[in-house]
Amino acid sequence: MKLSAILLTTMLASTVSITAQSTENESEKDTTKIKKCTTKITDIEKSEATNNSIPEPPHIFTDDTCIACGMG
Amino acid sequence: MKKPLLGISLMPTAAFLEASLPLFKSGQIEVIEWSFDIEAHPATIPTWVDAVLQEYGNNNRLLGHGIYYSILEAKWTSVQEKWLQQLEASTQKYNYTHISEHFGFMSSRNFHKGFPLPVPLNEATLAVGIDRIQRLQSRVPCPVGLENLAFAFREKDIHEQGEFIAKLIAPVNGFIILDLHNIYCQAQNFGVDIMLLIKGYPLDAVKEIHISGGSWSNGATKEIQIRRDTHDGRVPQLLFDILPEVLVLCKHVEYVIFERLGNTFTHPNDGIEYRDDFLKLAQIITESTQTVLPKQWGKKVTVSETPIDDLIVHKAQEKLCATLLAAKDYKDVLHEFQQWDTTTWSPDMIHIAIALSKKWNL
Repeated sequence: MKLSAILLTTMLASTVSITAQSTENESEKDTTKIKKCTTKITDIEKSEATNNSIPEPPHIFTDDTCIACGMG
Repeated sequence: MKKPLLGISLMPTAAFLEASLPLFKSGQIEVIEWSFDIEAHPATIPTWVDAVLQEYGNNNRLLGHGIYYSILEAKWTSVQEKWLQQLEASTQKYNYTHISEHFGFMSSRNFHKGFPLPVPLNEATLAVGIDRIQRLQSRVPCPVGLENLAFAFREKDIHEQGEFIAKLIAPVNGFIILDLHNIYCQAQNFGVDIMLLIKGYPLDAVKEIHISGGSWSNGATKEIQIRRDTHDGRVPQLLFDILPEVLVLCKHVEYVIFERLGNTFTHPNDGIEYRDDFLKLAQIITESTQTVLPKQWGKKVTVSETPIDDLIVHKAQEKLCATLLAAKDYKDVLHEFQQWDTTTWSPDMIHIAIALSKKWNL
């Protein structure tokens, strides 16, 4: 079932806030292992407004895998 | 001709959202199951969960799944009445396509604690169960059903559970949730062929299939491993292997729900494995020749003002709970509890029941 863009954006924003929070916590423990994705929520919202396609979430890489979506 | 819809059990945790979001994005989650008992703890429910439930409900793709009604508890209490009231409130908030509960009775009198225990499959418990499921049906505007229980003290009960559930749901024209991992646990723990057990169920009554992973625990001795339905791991390959055959056998099945607990995504790979298992299920359904044969479910019922109480069964249930909680090992249970013919009970399953009782009831 295709979800509405508004709902996906809400879910995405929740993930962003969660991962940002966990990254902050992780950074305090070990800053060498985490490469932050540079995509920002404002970019996503901008993309959402101009294009009906849903943008990729901002990946947060721990070693070689994104902890949010598993993308390697 | 439509195929069964594939969905997931929704969990209100951050890790679960991270794991499932790519599947939501790709539109592959066709239906959602919601354990509405979670609503008793509103502070634990993030705002995105409400939005998802509204969206799926508005599209007639939301299934309600209860945990704590304790459908075979022999004494009616205010706990069950309160549970029904909370369910009514939830059905006013969300548009459920159907509502289901679990076979068995809860091991604790405390609301939202305990785990489901089996009962003797006899006329006394059947009368209690029919009364409870009729009360459930009388309070909701959609069909109701029951899920098979994984736990059993003895092999005889796993062969008879399907027919017993069929008798329970018949008065409300209800449905069965066939939980394949629950049956997998029984097959592993009692050394029985899984398809033999599945074929013992009235498969014409199956409207929904559950599938999940689980884990192993030590039995009464460390040499024996007991399979448990813990919803915390990958789906066993055997369940992927038999699913095509099960789908063909269950010609009225409309939904396949993949379950994993929200607090079990602890390793970065857990999300990848979760999505991998989901996509395997999606492929099996796509490749299956099974299409849903429509069937009418549910029936309007009227219930008596006073619920049935069976005080003899109630006393036995109370004693079983107390004995499990106090027991040091399975021998204590066999010695203290003989009302239900414990001679054929498995020491390893009693050992697990004792462990579960101490985990959930203390």
